[in-house]
Amino acid sequence: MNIIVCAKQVIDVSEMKVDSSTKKPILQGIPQKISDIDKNAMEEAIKIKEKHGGKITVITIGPSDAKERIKELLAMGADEGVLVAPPDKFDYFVVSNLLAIAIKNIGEYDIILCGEASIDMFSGQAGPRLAGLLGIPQITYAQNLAVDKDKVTADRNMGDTAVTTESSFPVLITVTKEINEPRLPSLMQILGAANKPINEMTADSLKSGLNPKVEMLELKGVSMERKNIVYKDDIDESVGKLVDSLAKEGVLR
Amino acid sequence: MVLVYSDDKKITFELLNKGNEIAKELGEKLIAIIIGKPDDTLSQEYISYGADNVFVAETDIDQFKAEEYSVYLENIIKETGSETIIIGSNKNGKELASRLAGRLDVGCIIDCTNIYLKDKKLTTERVVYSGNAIAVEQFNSSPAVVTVPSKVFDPLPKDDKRKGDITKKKFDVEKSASKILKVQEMKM
Repeated sequence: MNIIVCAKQVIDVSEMKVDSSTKKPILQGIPQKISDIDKNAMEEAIKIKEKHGGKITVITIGPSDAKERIKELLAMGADEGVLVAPPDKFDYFVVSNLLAIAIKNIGEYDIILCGEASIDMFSGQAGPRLAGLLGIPQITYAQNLAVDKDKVTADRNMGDTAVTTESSFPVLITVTKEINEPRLPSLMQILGAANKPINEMTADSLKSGLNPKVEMLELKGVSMERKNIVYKDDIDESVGKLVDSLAKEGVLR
Repeated sequence: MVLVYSDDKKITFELLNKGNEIAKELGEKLIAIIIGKPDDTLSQEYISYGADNVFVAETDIDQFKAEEYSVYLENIIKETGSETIIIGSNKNGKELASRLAGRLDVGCIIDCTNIYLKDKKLTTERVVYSGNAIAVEQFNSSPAVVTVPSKVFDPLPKDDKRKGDITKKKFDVEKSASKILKVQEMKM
């Protein structure tokens, strides 16, 4: 079985600091890591390989230091890495196109695994967007998977309901963090990862002239001041109003 | 045209308010979308909450699959010549918008906490980095696809006297290779 895992290098959001005068986040000099839920996708890929055999290829769109992150995934159990350096400016349009071309270059595949969202941006756009671009079925928010020779069955976490979906291959699956506990590689595996291939390439070598459709105008800081709002009505009404204002602030998802 | 779609009508009501504002500024019409069986009561409700017109993609499909719904939306976008697509940001809406953006190969922004026009371009804000920052982003191309969660905008007051056209159309949509086996309550 040929499995592809899409993994993103992100800054460790828990280590992020905020400039006290501008309230803007400081993004430089923060430790980098593989987005947590992408590691769950990796773990699931290894489990599938353990049962059915095959090959796991990890693809990352990121700067050259992301090579170190790919090595972690190779140590966990991936067979090969692909690292595509993005152009100066990129968005989900650019990234998904680069992923699609890199995947087509790999050739035949059965399952593409992604995390349901990255922990830095938390859009959850890359997976289903890639599935649309490749024209293959998608199974999102999978909280468990059962893979057979010619099909996969997944329970999707839809909040209030669990939806059980089945698909033939090829299929793109995004997983939630509940699906498994990613393994920690042994020292031997970490050393062994050094001999596994990482194929580095530039965006231009895959497709030139990919320009973003969305531009970031500004990254605004968030004021952490107290809002001092007191809800004095009866409990039910107050809770309702509190939920409404939290939702308006974008604190709830 | 500006399109608004959600499978949750409460979110649709909220989005119609903002959609109405944006459509007016662009000098375009606001169209609410229904995918499923024609529902004249719901269509009139959408008009009462601010839609100029309602477009019903008639289908017997009653279970949501992003693979199929994205094709309906793609057809409606082409049919109506729409360039602004606002989708309700629940779990279905997010994967639907993302897949649609992939199919059309256009820009998409998920979970916007504000949308507005700046220099006539659709501009959005969303919370990133675990709530530590707000990304202000702008589309430099169209169609533009955005999703907005519930309760970000308030609905307009309902006006039952508002009138609008309801268009119904069937599209030929290829069935997805995926199959929904069962839907059950989530175990906690």
